[in-house]
Parts: sequence; structure tokens; C-alpha cells
Amino acid sequence: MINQQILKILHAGALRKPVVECAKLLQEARPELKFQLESYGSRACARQVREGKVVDILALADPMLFAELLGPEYVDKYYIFANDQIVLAYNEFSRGSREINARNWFDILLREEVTFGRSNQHLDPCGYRTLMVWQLSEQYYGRPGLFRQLDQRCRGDLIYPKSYDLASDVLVGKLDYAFEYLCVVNQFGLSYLSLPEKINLSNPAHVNYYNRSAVSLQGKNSGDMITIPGAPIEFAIAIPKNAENLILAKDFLDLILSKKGQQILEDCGLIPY
Amino acid sequence: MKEEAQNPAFAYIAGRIDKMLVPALLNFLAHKPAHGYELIQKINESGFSEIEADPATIYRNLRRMEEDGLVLSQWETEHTGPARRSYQLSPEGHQALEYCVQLISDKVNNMTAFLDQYRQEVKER
Repeated sequence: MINQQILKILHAGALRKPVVECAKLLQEARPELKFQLESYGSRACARQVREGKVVDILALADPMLFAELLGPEYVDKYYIFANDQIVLAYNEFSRGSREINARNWFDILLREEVTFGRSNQHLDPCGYRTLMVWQLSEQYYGRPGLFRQLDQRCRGDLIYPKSYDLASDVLVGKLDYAFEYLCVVNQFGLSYLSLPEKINLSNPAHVNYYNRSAVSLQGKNSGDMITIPGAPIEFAIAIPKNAENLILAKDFLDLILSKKGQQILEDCGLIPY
Repeated sequence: MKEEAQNPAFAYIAGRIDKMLVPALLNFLAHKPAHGYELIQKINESGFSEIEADPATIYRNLRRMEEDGLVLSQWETEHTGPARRSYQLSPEGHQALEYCVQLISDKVNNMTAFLDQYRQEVKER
């Protein structure tokens, strides 16, 4: 009985604010309702569900994960509900931030004294999307070897489990720059540099250009590797097949997909569908 | 036509007809229902619109068109797998498209008259 009043939501870190805002709104209508929110990189979220974690709502930063890791055994339907882009986040004291622009950002990042981070591609879609942005930048700016240079400078501790933690470290000045979703940057109130549309993975009109990039990732089973091509950034949400609170989960899903949900998503810096 | 032009949505369209974004969206949706992702690709491929069809612009326009009653949206839920919000033209949307066609025709006629006059009175003089 108690279980019926707890809605368990597992979500991409980037969706923290809109998920919390929707949860608050639902709680206003149902004060007895409790929420259990957990966030990780989206690949890590999907793996947890595969390994038996039971949640009522699963919201991820890449629809491809539902097809690749969860369907049809764990999820049979998922809703693609928002779009975003990769930007370069920084704070007011980040080294080089006064001169950085869309034509010189890579030269500034490669300066000896500058630090920048990204998230782990095996755990978080923002990680593999960052690697795609670097690959596309090499072509877009005509700078052979740029991907390798950026990759060599961003190793070890500069690779984070999820993009949300990365933004937090830019905010407190541990990092000068980070490759982030625009929605996360907005949630943290960080400064950011917009990257050209042809490399920021935002626009379906450039899908063929984005497809020129590709990243290898750990696949479904241990030891498997898969290669995924670049694509526009989209977010998706589902009720897993083993959800315990179907009615509450459906209410939450309906809310985030509703007009009110669209407004919340937009206020959080996403582009709602 | 006069009565249609008094509709706030029609006034909005008339004020932005030069950008051609709303006419292009109405035109594509008159052929068949579509989701935003597909519309962004079609708008960019067509070259009809003078506005760069980035996702924020397209989805904001679609939401506004829905609020104005020109399009209806629903989530495609009949199949398993990925679902997207699909847009279709309402009867008022069809009227709005006709209104756009009339506005564009008037503009084309005015521009043609201008070009004719230029050729006759300036270029060939």
C-alpha cells in the first residue's frame, strides 16, 4: 500500500530540473504522493534497468538507448519529447573566457593553463556527443588532428560520470570549461559559447553532416562494442514494463508531455516537442 | 477574406508573410500530418522560408499555430517503439493556407507589375 504512493523516477542528470518541477506540480494535486528521484548518465540508467532495477518512469538523454539497450524486453514504447544542443560552458573567471568565440574556442582550450572536461561516453550520452562535436569540428574548421589534440588534453579526472557534475565543477571554478547541454547550463546559470549548428548536434536539417561522426561504445553485453553515428540531440521518456505504479507513472508521463509540461521544459532550457 | 483577416492568427500570418515560415508549415501539413523533426528537414530542403529553420523556431511556431487553432497535435501511440508528437492541419488551418496563398498571389502580382514597369520605363528607355 505504501509502495503505491511512491513514484520512482530514474532520469538523466540533465533532466533534473524539469523532472523536479513536474514532480512538484503533481504533488500539488496529490499531497500524499512521494517521489524517489535518482539521476545518472543515461547509459548508466539504462544499464541499471537491464540489471533489474525497478522504476516507474525512465527519462533518458538519447532515444537510441531505448532501442539499443531496453527494447522490447524492458520498454515497449517511449516518447521523444525534447531537443537540445551541445555548448561550451564556462564561468566568469574561466581562463580565456573574455576572448573566446565560435572561431577560436579550440585554440583557447588547447592552451597549457586551460582545463576543460567532458562526461564519460560509456555512461552518458553527453560524453559521446562531445566526442562527435570534436570530430565534426575537425572537418568544419579544417583542422586535421584537432580531435586527437582535444582528446589527449581531456583525460583521467577531466572525464566525469555525468554532465550534471561537470557543470557543477565549472560553477565552482574547478574547471575552466565543459562541453554541456544548453539545458544544464541554464539550470546552473553558467555562461556559455554557442557552437555552430553544423557541429552542435541540434538541428535535424544537418543530420547527414552529423552522421559523418561516429563513436564506439560498450554494447549490450560485456565485451561487445557498438558504433553509433552522430544525430540530433533528443530526450525520451517511458514507463518500463516492470513499473509498480502504472497509474501514477501515467499521470507523470501525461504531465511532462502536456502543454504545462512543455512550458516547464522550455523554462528549463529545453526545446519541447 | 475580410472576416478571416480579422482573426488574430490571420493578422499574425499577414505580418510575417515575407518570412514564409508559417505558409511553408501549413503547406507541408496540408499534404499529410507530420512531426516537427520531419518538418524542420522539409523546410530546410525546400528553401521556401527566409528564416533559418532551427528547432526552437519551428517548435515555437507549431505551438503557436496550435494555440491559434490552425493545427492539431497528438502523440503517435498506436505502435510500439518511438512515439513523436504529430501535427495535422485543422479546418481553420486550411483556411489559413488559402489566406496565405491569396496574400502571396497579391505580392507576386504587385512585384510582377513592378518588374514590368521597370523593364518598360527604365531598362528599355
